[in-house]
Amino acid sequence: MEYLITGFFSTVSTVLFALSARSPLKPAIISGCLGGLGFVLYLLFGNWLSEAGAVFYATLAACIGAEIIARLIKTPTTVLSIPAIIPLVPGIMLYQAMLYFGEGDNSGGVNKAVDTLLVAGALALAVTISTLVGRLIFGPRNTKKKEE
Amino acid sequence: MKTSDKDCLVLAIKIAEGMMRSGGETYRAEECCIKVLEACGASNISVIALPTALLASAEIDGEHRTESASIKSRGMDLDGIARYNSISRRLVSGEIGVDEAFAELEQKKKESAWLSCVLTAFAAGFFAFVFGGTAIDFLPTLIAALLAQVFRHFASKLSHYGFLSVLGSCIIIGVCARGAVALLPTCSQEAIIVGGIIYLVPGLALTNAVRDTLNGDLVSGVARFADAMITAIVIAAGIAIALSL
Repeated sequence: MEYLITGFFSTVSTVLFALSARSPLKPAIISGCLGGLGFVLYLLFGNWLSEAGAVFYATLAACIGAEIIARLIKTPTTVLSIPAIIPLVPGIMLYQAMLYFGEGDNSGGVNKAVDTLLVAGALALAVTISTLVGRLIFGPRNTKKKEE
Repeated sequence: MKTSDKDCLVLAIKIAEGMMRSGGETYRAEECCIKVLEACGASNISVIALPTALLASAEIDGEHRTESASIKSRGMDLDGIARYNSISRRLVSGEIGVDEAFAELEQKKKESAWLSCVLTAFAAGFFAFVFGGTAIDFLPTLIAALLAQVFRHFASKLSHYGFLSVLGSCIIIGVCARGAVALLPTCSQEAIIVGGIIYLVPGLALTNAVRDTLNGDLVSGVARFADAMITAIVIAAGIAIALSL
């Protein structure tokens, strides 16, 4: 239940974020749902996996969803995937690292900063893999036009 | 008087330029450009798209021409990406002609900067809930994000590159969060700051950097990665400044 509420809020905020990035309404709502789904999965996976692992699988799920839906509604994938990964970006860890540095606790800060980099790396890796999966399974987007 | 073929190269480069400006991937900009030129019957096409510049040359009716465009600003405009993509798609499929495509390029969706600021502020407010905030954190986050957005709106008029505006926004958010905690001790400083900075985080630049590198556009990939890193460091520095005040 708690997950559902958090998921709902992240959906709402992702939709608003997409709209403020001038996304059209339909892709904004879809990417909002993907963002909410991704965040709920991240919370769920967080029970068993490390932070970076949870972010990796959640991003993978959201981005592969974006790849599939983008092809169905004929929109560039980026329009869906950019807002969808926003809730998963490790902003909270970046903040905590800076808090440690601000308090003069350098070793704690470096620890947190390395964690942040790992999570950001996991995010980037998941985006990469989802692009590859999208291309391997569904083919390059331009195949139809080349056959003409 | 321009012939329609000459318009075609200009059109192709305008579409690709718009795509890069809106934050589209490099390969998408190049592909749009090539597709449009192919549809116009050009041969010997070569297109180079970089985050800062665009070059396209093609042979049209036995005449070899090159056009270039420099890209000064790189923002995030998801509607722009979708729109330029659809213009080039419809042009290629023959649904619209070159003149109609030009007409469509001109009619940009005018959106008020204030609406965008308010939307972002509400998004930040809800993000505060997502990152462990409670109902009491909603309003401070909203105000902090709104102030930061208004500052960003004015700062972006001073320079193309968003370095100073991001730094200023982060400091404003940090100061607002500390002020809110001083006034209402039940507020969560963490939730307010994280909710506030989340839309400044370079998600688009990072995603595009990865995608570009994957597509073999190494120059764009590295340039965008540097862009994302600089923004992340600036955000971190901004928070650090606000926290140590």
